[in-house]
Amino acid sequence: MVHKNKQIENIENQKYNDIVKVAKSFDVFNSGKKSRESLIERIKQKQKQLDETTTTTTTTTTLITNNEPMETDSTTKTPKNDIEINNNEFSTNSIIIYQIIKYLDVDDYHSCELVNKQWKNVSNDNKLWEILFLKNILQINDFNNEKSIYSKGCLKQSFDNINNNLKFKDLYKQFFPHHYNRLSNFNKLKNIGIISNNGIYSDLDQIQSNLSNILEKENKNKKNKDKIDIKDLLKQISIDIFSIKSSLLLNKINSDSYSKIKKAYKPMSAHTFLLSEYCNTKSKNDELACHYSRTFQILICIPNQVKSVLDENQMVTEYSRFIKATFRISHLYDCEENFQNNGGEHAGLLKRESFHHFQTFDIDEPSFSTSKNQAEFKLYNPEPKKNDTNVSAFDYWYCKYDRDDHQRMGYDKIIKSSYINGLHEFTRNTFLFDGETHFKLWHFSNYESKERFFSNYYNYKEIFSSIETIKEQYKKKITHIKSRYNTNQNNDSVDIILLLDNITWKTNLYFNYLHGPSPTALKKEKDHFELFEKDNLKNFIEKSFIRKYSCSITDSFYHPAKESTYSFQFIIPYKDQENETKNLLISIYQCCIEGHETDKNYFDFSVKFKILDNQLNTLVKDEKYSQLFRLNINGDNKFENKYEKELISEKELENIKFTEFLSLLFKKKFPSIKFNLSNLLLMANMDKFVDYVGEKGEISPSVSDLNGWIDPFIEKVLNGYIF
Amino acid sequence: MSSIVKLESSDEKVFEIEKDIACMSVTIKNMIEDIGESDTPIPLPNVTSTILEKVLDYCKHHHQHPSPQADDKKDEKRLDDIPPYDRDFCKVDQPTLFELILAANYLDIKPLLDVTCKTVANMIRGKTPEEIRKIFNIKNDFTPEEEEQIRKENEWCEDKGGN
Repeated sequence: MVHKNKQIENIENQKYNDIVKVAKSFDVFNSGKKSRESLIERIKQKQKQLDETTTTTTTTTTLITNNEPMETDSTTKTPKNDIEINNNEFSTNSIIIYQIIKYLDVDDYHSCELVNKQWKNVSNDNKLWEILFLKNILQINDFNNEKSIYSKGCLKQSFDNINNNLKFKDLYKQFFPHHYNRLSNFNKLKNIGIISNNGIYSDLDQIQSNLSNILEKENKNKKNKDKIDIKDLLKQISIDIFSIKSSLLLNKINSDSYSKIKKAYKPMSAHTFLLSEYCNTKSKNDELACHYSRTFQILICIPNQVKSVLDENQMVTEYSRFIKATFRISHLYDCEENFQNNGGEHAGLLKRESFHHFQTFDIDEPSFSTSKNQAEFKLYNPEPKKNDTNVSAFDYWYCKYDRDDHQRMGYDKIIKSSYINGLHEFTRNTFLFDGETHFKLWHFSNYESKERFFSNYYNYKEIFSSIETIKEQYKKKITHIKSRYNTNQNNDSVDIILLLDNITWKTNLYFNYLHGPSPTALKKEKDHFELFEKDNLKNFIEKSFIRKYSCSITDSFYHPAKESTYSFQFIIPYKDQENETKNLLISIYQCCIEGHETDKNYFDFSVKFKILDNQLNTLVKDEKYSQLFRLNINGDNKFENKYEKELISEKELENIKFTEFLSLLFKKKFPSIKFNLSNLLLMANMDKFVDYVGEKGEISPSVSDLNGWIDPFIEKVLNGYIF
Repeated sequence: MSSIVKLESSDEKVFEIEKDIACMSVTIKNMIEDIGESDTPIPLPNVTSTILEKVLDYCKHHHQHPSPQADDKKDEKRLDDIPPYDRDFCKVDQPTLFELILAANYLDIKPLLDVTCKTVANMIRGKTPEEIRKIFNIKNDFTPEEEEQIRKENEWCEDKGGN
């Protein structure tokens, strides 16, 4: 102590180097700012502490940087040459352990937790789990850049509002149960009943119930203070964060869908739906043949036969997993008048220019593409399973067909061939859409030949379409777009694609919430935030539902007319004047015909609504709507726009854009709704065909936009149309 | 060319280096700001000359070849996404790597800390707790009961279910 006292005598007058050495000897060098004044301050404080404890402690101090305890008498010496920084020091530095663990994933976190007590503490650092959680939920790969993680939306703020003591580790478990050792943990989780057999939360009540039962057993052996009440935690979380799927389940959409699927289709069979299709026929001047290529994308719904969560003895079939399959077939046809496709027998998938591509995705793993600013589903490559009792999606699909006679085989006669072989065999020999439609790849029927009069056509389904190169080509040679092939022939059956539309709709809203509003999409509008208040968002996502979403743009080969239609119907919750929650059905419809043989151009745009007592998920024929707005232009240039003019004063119409006009009309009609209609459509990425961005202050629908493609008629006729 | 600063390692070896390069270390930068321009070597009592030499090599390289800003980089960043120079730089024996981490931490050189920690994280990934202990020469201070308790809490991630 004598030496130390000597050291700090006149310390203010000593050189900085000497002050550093003293600070080191007092072990205060690294504990704050390293300015001269700061070091002197800390040295003095330390000295004071030492003086106070000197009567009760020995004068021996351990210096962290050295392995061997160093007598304080020696602290005035220059540090030894042979300073050793061994593994022990390294592995006991919590900051460094943290720095290392933060690069790992959840499974490794748990290995680190078992290393020793210090590593356990670091591994359970809430901040570490918070970053891991946010990184996963916001799909951020740059784990190192915490700023980018926290700059995404207001999620962090929501957490702070919910509970300052929120344990992100618990949250992570609930959100990403499948991240825990991936698939192998599914069974474990399923066995204890936390998740349903397909890995999807059935609904919040059920999760709470399951968790409560488990925790009750766990808590029996614990003291009161250690008891975990995840139920409370879940309640808090569910205010802001909830499973997208559960919002569908809460509306009983899925259960209805399931029962209807069961009625409409035999259980245990995969079902296919056409998502998008593009055909192109080219012919060189010196050739008497044309090159025909057809690219199409289908969605295959895979049944998962699993034990029921409620009753282990019962097996249930769930349609939760999907394969998105893309094919392109090419063929050279003899060039006959009218492009009769009589040579279709020779079309095959394995030509030089042909390809196929399979992706599987699970509807419970929605993600968000920041580049496209829209929701997507996480895609996987199909993998064969080794275990005979667990059949992979593809195996199952494949086994449905006998490759020779295309007959269905029983579930128990599963052909165990490799996945690649299976694909080749499958694509070469068989392909049909649910056995009932007219699409057969190995042979075009006469009916199909008639359908092939178009030189180009494209079935468009934007949500799942990923044929980017084709889109580019499409922009240049747009001739025919058909609406999505409607498989919903049977009124009892459920349009699974519509169900997926709904998941996408809800997911888009949800991810927009997480990421914050896009500044380009939502310019100066502010009131959309009200939609994202806790109860509003939850209620909105649970209650809203798309009933119809389709577009069709047609350009006949023989017919000079261009016709485009767009129809979007959705239901949203609405509080009436008695503050009672009703369901408001909104229908947006647009039809545009140009160049018809009568030489009349026609444009019709309408927004209609209907208040429903009960949510109806299926279309009812001859539904009577009330009209909110209609703009009609016929060939004689008679403009007619209808709306309740008393709702909007002339003053309010000044300097208002068309999008603002519609939103204003909507708000005046439904004053309890606090968001802009146009913003809602923007956030849900459902605004592709109602792009009313007025310019120069006029109220004007500008052009209809299909991923950059501009409908020439709408552009020509409607641009400049001012109210 | 910027002025020269002198750095003194724990074994009293003095290194002369351009101020701009030295200032990649936030710790050194702060010291220089505190003491001003001086011929007196800045003491780095936590860093040996061997390690300091390597650290300065790293700083020199990155000073001459600045990496693009984070915003300019591609979205996809993974753990194995270590630039070639940094990867080679980290190909050292384990004690040296650990010393580099400590030096990077002490000198507050974030890119060096990132890359060295990333390298160690790669060493840990997929390892069992026992293997991690072996790498770092760590003693297990859990009682069997405590260890069992943690394992029980982490049954979520234990591969017991099989497939």
